[in-house]
Amino acid sequence: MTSTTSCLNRFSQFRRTYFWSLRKNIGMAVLLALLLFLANPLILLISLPGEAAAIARNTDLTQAERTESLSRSYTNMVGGLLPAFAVAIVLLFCAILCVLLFGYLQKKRSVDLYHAMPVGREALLLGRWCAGITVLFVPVLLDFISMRMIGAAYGVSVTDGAKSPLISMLWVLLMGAAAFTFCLFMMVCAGTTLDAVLSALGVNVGYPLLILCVYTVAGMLLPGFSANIADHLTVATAFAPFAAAFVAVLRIGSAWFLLWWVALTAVLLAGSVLLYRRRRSESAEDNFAFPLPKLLVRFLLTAVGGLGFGLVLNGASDTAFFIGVLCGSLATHVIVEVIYSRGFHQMKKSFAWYGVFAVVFVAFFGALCTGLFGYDTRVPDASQVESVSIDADSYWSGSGSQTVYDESFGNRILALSPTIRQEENIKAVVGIQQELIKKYRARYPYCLKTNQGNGLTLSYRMKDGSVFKRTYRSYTDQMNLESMLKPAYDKLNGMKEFVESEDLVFYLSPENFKSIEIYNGKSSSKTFVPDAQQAAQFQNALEQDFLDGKVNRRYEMTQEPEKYLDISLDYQEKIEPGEKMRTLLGGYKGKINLNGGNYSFTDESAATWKLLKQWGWVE
Amino acid sequence: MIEVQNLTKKFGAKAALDNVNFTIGGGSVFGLVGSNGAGKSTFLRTCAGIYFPDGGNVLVDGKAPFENAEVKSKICFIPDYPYFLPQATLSDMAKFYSGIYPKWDAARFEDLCKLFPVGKKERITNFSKGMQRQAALICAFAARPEYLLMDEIFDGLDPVMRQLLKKLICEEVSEHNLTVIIASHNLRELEDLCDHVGLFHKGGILFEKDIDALRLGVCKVQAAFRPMPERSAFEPMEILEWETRGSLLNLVVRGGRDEVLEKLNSLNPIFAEALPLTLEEVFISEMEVAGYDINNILS
Repeated sequence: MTSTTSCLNRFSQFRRTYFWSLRKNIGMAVLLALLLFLANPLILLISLPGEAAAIARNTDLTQAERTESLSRSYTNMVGGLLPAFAVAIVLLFCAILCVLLFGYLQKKRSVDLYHAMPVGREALLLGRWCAGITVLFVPVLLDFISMRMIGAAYGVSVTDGAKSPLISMLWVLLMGAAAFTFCLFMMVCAGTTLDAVLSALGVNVGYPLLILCVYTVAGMLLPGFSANIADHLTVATAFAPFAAAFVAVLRIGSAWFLLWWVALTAVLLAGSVLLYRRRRSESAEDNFAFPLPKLLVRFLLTAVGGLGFGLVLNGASDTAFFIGVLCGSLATHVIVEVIYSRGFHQMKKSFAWYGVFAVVFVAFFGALCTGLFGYDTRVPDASQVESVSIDADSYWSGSGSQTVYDESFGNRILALSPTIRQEENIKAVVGIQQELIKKYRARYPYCLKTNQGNGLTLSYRMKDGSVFKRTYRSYTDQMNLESMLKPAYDKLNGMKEFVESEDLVFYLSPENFKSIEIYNGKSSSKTFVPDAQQAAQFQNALEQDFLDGKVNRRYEMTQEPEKYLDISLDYQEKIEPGEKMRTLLGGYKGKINLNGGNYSFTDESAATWKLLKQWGWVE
Repeated sequence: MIEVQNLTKKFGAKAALDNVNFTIGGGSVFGLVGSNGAGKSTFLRTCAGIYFPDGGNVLVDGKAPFENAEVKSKICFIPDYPYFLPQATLSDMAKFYSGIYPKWDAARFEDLCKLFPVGKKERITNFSKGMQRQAALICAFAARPEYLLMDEIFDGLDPVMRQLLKKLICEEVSEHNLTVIIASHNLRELEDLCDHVGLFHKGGILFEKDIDALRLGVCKVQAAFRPMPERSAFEPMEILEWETRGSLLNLVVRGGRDEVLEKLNSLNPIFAEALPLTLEEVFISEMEVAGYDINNILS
């Protein structure tokens, strides 16, 4: 009976807190709704009529095609507007609302009022959190509904036009809740609003920068490690909800990312409740009630300052890197400590925590120098590999930027990279990787070298669905570049399967070619439209040149203009993919658009050159 | 009833309350006095459930107030600087309190608004210090608490308002059995109002007594002697304070008025009379006996 009464009381306290806080912040909800209306529906109201009129004027389209085209335009507009404006506005309101709703924790006088009230801390915190979430969510939902209504008014199909914006909106809601809860956690831990804001800012800026620095240093030290931060955006923003919100809306569909943020939001909320129950009222106006954010932010920024300054000085010498790390980390540590402690009085004590950074840095650098516990020598079991995608930088390949888009040119379906599927070729690729490992191991333990950006990436797709990826980059000078990677690339180029999967020309039909633009340095470029027979001959010649290794993939210019031929292909629009292309696209059934068909020749004996000369298209 | 059992509260390494023990009876007015930093405000906040004790307990009707909404609903705390919601008027605060305190009395609120000269629709932040305290008092009395804790409540109140406050407290105590705890440096105000006092010093309580017993137990007398007897002649009396000016003798003596005068008259003074003793004088005497330097204690 007592327990039931207690629960009822707690619910009643929660309800009263929720409605009171909601009433007090209703103005913020209205303001957010207004800003979102200005950002999204208003722009849609201005843009959509023009788009609809343009589509209506196109007499070549049937009614169904017009509806489809308008739905596509609507989806593109809404897909662009939501990430750009809604996320930024919602994140701004997360921070403002958090200060408004939980600022009372940071003042002794307001703590006197709220903590003397007959309302439990759980009910107080959760009631206010729910009120904040309502203030954030309702305007976003209204924004989405109003955009749907505008779309419906112009005849945008519900099924075609709603899915992508709906997912975007759900991401905005989730990341809004995550950012708001993250701010709440900081407010509970900090003793002043300034410290809470500084800590939230510190984590959201410091963490992604630290990951960037760590990846860059690892990429320079550890053979095989891929330092491309674009591949690791989810990791780089895993503890930075303000940055992750943008990644989330732009990278819709990552199940792990979704689960992570749902779980982290729940953990942050539960952590906030637990800490608030233990929070001493007297810690208001102190720096921190719980020092975790201070320790975390100071460590993050010290590491970023150290690694960042080390990387800046790295160009001079390896020693300069360490001098940079020492100076940068010390300076950052002192600055952060001065800001948090409002002076130098705790500086001496704080150097114990600088020691923690020093130990972690030595361990981190030592682990990378020695191959990160065997990371550098690990190769996959060839029998367990399903396929290998090979990504060679533009230094090695001129066809690296070929991409396939959907019918509307809105979504990229594929960025072409050569893929090996045959068992013996997979074994050969593993062998190539082992040879590379031997070459890099000759310089063991590894040291810092400038990363020139040229490299070879092997992405093994394993039979169990996992991916094993290694990127090998060249050392500083051109000679090393040639000696380290060229033999590997030459071996790959000797595989027919590699060459045939390297360029889109092997996946197309002659009717897909629209025009050929030719430039050879003697005169201005000329464009020719091949007939069906010419297109077929051209394709055969180009394929032959690829197999013969006569396409100049490295775009090496010659001093003699007459010994240089550059060809740009223009493809038909909305191509119906053939069987081979459909397989490449994983069974994609829609029409496609292509991008990137540039070829360079420096060898007059190339079949393509001969053919074009035969037709008189080249002098 | 409030029972304080071995109560300890620390701020960092410093103990603001150190193993304090005493009891405050229901329906009484308890005055807390003491030097700056003695622990009065800390005690009130611990009593109000704002601070969690580091040791011991404060029990209000047998229950600890920290995170106990049931107990807190019986307590109203007015701190030395009362807090009001941003941009709130007295009416807004009434709405806020009415949703929180189960015994909120709207009629009482209206009556109090007529008694205290503060505007219900004006922003409290624009009020003077004294008016803000009046606003806090209105809200606190309208909440109909069983325990009213007030920190330096007389500061900023004009003499008329002080009298009004005392009158209200007396009414509430007699009619509703309200228990009041007032922390103050203003001993003269407490003297008229409190029935019990407790003296805090350096986190401990020096004593806690009934104010009448305190007054009756100490007596100030003035007498003239010619010639002045030796001090040893006064030894049967427990002298707390001794001062001579020529043939005039001022004494503060422990004991009842008649008893002290009788002992004094046996020494054949030219004249001897008992003088009224203020609470402040009682405290000064008691603390001197306890060995505390008055200049450091009563500020």
